[in-house]
Amino acid sequence: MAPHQDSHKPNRNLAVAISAAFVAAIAVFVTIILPAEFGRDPLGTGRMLGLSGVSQATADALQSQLEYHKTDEVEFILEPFQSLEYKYLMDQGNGLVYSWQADGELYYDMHAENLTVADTEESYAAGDADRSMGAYEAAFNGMHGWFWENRGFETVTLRLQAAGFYVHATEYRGGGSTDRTPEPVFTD
Amino acid sequence: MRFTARTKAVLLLMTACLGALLAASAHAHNIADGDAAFVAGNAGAAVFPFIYLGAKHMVTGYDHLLFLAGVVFFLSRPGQIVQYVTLFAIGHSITLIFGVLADIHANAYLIDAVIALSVVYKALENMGALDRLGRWHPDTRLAVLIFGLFHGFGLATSLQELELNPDGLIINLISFNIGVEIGQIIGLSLIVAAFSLWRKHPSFANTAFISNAVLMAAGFMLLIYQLTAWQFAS
Repeated sequence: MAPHQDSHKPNRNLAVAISAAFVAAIAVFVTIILPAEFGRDPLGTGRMLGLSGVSQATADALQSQLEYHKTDEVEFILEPFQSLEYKYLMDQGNGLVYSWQADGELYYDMHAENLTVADTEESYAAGDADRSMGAYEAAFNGMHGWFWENRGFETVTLRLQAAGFYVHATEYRGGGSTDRTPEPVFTD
Repeated sequence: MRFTARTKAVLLLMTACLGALLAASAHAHNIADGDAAFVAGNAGAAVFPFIYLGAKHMVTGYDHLLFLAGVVFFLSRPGQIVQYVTLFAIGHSITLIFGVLADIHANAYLIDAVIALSVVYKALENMGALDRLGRWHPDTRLAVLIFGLFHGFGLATSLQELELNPDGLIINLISFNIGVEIGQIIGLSLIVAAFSLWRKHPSFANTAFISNAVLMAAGFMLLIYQLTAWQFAS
């Protein structure tokens, strides 16, 4: 079997080795990699070895947070062509679950302003709507929230509920800003 | 006796290859999610973070490491190792920098498939499969340089998948490239150290042929993996 003993028939040896390498690769791929990485299990080996769940599992499904859990509920009145911004100070990785609803259509822009790198803004969604909801995770340290503008001719009432891990909220309106710090859900 | 030593070596190699493949997440060989977020949020020159990312990409990049293992398999003189690795570094630096600056978007899966083929090719060469080609035998130095170009395109595409900010791009790109070379030196010193220990043992000569067949199998596995991922993605 040692290569030097077979030097008179190296061609056959090579062919055997190359085919074996290829067959071994296919075998490992079909029995192990395909079920583990692609969620396909043609021979049932993935289930047998308990590999089928590997590709579905997310390592970071749970993210513990250091910031206090707060809930915030606010209501704004937007007269025609009035606009405002409402944003939360959040650290990278902090999460937020939100819903907002208005009794008329508003232009909105959900965006974030990076506090670590100057003049860096990221817009995640913009358009016209009267409601939106979602789960949000801050991609960097900064102010994360919405710009709303009433582009209609009727006064619109906007309500927002947001629960998450933020430091405080800031409302920017008419050139000024006011901070709001909702209470943590457990205050003691 | 000889059979057990050989079997042991082969098993060790196979476990190493399999371990590397299975340990890798479903993101095959992309830059990890957290690092991607960092790059996306970054504007301006960030020398050390990009050096770190480059080095991490290389040290955890089993496709690049398998190819390097194939390249240095029969190289024992330091001068030779430096010569081949320099050719590889020149090759991948050219396409990494040119690919990103010229904004060439190659298909990441197909580039990675060519990188997998480079592992198969190197194993084939080490097994002596090309020896009988006579004057048609490809120049081994040229082959390392050319495959280096493809590895560089692979580095470029994985860097391009992140939203690179044009602000400070050149400095960050060069930092990433320096990191790649540092990572390569780290990975390579471990590989060369392991091979030089193994070379003293009779199992090295006895299993050189079959070890390269195992290396080839790992290359084929990566090839099939990348082609399947490409099919699933398109």
